[in-house]
Amino acid sequence: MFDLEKAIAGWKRELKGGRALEDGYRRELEEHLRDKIDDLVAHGAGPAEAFDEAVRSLGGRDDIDTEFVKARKGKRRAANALLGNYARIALRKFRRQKGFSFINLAGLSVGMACCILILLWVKDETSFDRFHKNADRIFRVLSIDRAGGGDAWDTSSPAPLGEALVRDFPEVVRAVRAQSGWDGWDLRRGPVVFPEARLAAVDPAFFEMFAFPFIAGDPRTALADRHSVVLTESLARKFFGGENALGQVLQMNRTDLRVTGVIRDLPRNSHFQFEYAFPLDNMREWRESRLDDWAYRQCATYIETQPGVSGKTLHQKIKSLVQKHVPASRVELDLQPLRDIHLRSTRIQNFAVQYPNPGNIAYVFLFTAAAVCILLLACVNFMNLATARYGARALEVGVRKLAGAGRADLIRQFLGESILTSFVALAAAGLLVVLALPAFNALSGKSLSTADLVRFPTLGGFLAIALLTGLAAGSYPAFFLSSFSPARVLKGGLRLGLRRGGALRKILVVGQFAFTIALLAAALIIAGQLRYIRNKDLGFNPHNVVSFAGYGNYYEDFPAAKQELLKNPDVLSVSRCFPPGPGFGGTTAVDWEGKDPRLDVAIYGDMGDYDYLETFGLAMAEGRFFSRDHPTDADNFVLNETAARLLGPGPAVGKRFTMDGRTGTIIGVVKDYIAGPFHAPVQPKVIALRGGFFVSVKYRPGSTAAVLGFLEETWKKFVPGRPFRYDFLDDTIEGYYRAERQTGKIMLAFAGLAVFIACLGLFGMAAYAAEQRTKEIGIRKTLGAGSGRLVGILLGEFIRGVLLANLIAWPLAYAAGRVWLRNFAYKMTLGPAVFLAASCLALSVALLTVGFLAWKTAAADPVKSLRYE
Amino acid sequence: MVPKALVAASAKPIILSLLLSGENYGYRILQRVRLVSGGTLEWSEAMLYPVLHRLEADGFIRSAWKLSGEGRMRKYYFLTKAGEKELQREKSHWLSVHKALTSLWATAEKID
Repeated sequence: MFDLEKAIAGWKRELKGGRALEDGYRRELEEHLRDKIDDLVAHGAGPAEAFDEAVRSLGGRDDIDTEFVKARKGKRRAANALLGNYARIALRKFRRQKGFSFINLAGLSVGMACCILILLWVKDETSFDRFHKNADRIFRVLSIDRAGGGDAWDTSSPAPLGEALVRDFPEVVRAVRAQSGWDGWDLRRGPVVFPEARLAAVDPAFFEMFAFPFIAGDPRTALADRHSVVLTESLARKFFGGENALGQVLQMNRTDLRVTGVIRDLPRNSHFQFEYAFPLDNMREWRESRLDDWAYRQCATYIETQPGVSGKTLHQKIKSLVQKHVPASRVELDLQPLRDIHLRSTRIQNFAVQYPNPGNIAYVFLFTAAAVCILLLACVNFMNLATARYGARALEVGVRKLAGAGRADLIRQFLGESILTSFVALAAAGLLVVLALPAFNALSGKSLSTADLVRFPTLGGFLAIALLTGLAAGSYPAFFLSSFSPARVLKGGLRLGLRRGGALRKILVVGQFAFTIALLAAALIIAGQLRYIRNKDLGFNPHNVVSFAGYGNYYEDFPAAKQELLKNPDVLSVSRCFPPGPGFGGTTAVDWEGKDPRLDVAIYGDMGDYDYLETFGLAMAEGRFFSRDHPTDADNFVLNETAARLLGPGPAVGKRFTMDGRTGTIIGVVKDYIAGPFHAPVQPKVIALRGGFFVSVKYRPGSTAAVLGFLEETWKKFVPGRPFRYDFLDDTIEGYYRAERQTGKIMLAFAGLAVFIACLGLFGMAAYAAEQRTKEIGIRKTLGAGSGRLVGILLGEFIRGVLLANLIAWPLAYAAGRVWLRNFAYKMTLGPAVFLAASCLALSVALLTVGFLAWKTAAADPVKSLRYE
Repeated sequence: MVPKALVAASAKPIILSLLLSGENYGYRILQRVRLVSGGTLEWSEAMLYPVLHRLEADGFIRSAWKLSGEGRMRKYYFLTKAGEKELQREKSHWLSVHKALTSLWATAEKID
């Protein structure tokens, strides 16, 4: 007897084997079957007959199954399934080749971290002074003194210039003058004084032109009254704590100043740096500033132009303005956009001295290029290792292709893998950057914070970098591998593809080393020049000399104060002077016996006393120095060699000499001394016996701490109520090269990292090559080759690569070095030593990296290596 | 008999159009198709369910198990908003094919 339920149950069991048939589907099909059977029975068929007919019209299991599979081959599902598969494969590869994956990731993340750090630095450097509202319409007027045939660029311009510009040129909306950044001026509240606070003496419209945000007070009227002062937030807090600062009274040079405004602390990326500002007019009294004198150049002038005015056109109009007021003047004017001040002021002579933290556009370009190169290096490494390693995956490619994967699928797979890796590397790089940031800040003198990292545009940039890196790094392997013909791969004819990749890899390795060597050489050139500066005989001895301002007793009764100091046996000599410095503000009002009247020269004055020579360790070239035994010396002069040469042939000593209206005899010539930055040559200098505002103390080497303690004690006696502040002359001189030293350090650090990345790459390549040649080595060994010879064979290729890289690196580094050294008037000779050193360094690191590996491979037991196939 | 390729191509608009008048289940859908086409559209029964599932996966229809009048559990399908829109698109496609063919044949008849 036919049992319908049993038959249906049997049919259902059979369906179970299908791939695509889930429970719900089967249930649905069963209901369909039952409907059909009911229908047929209702039309008069027997149950068995109906069942057979229903099953037949529904089709067999395989038919149904195929239809379901076909319907499910929707794109989305397929992509998802494949994506999972790719990720699984990527992870599996990662786990199976830990060392290789680590090398790959480490190289990429170190490269990215470098790039991120450099870009943060560049972003910070280029952000200076851009926050002002009309920053693109503000210019600083520079003056170029052509007197003496030179071109002395200066940040200050004639004092009445700004007013004249506003009056006579409709293009100029307003002008303000500013003197800023000086510390040690004692703004006080009763006895409370903060001598480290820096001043800004500015015209009243200053805060209208420069949008420093006010917390209290009105920027338009804050400085309208002559006896007013604007404080930064933190100075206000120091003076008044939680009290409201507005309306309070402070004193400066016995004058009362009312606080009329509080501004936010100045951002780091402003070329103005001060803690308080007061009207410049006060300086007429406090500094005897001749603010209406066209020959008086002690303040910077800033102008704001009408919208749409071209700086170039305006510059042409005002260029020779000074001559209208001072016909004899050789001062020419130039306009410098506000936004260029930080990065493009290197040719201004007193810049490095006046502005503590100068930037240099050349370094911005240099470092950006370095960042891009390091990232490229890391990418190249990644590509190299990937293509080398992917060779082993040719089989996978073949099988995938046979199973129906299209080229696009494979490209997607490999690109996906490399983008995934690059994002993992980005995460690691982020971690590295966070860890390295304190060290980087110390190195670069910046205070970048992790908050700068996660700001949106920056973060977006990094993600874009990661994506690009992944695409760049993965594209070669992706297109290269997906081009394999499956038939050839599976037959074992892969060598063709690999050899082609091999040539490219070699080029990449050579390029990589060329870049590394060039970077190393550049770092060595900078280090060499800095060493040269440190070791160069300056013509005087700046060590163990401490200088401080001569206030109080030092001013009123210097001889007594000096005797007091000399009682200390560690104090060797004391001089009241202006310590040797870069000398600005030369004078052309000089004359001497037999001067060619057409000769136009500027001569710079240094002020000293009888002990100047001894205190600073100057050396006489001719004649004698000032002496107490010659009472007439008060009118006499001592020249340096450069000045003496200006005087023409014949001995300078004995000639009559006039400077600024004072005439005397030249009694001696000192050897040239380089007291300013090495960027400019020694200026012609004249030393006059005229004292100076500073006291310089030369002390016995090794007694620094004791002498400082002693000086501070004496200071408290002589200058009560004013804190003791001092400078070491050698520190001041070192300070001129801060930017260079920083650049050198950063360069060296990045060169080191580049070497590291290049070596990681090299190691990976070598490991791969060694593995590829295991069999060859085994055979060579059984035929009698010694381990040493085998190491040679294995190393040969890499050594050749590194040597070839030198040929590219040397000219590059040489050219860059030449350009950089042009900044210095005194410079090292650029010999082959630097380049050889860079090459040796790169070569030895490469040898160390590859050598060990080569030795291991060569020393391996040939039986093992030959048996494995 | 309508050839296989055309059957496959028209399955989607036909199912969507059928569901426009209300929810329905597989077996009934097949019967309705046969009825409205006067027997010229012969759908293989194995084809229908995969197509339904595909339409569901694409979001054009939804399904629910329900107790039918005869006391049997049946899987009912109904049209979603996306399905209605998809049907509009399909309709305009088919109508333009129809229009093109009609006008071509009209001219052809004149020439004849």
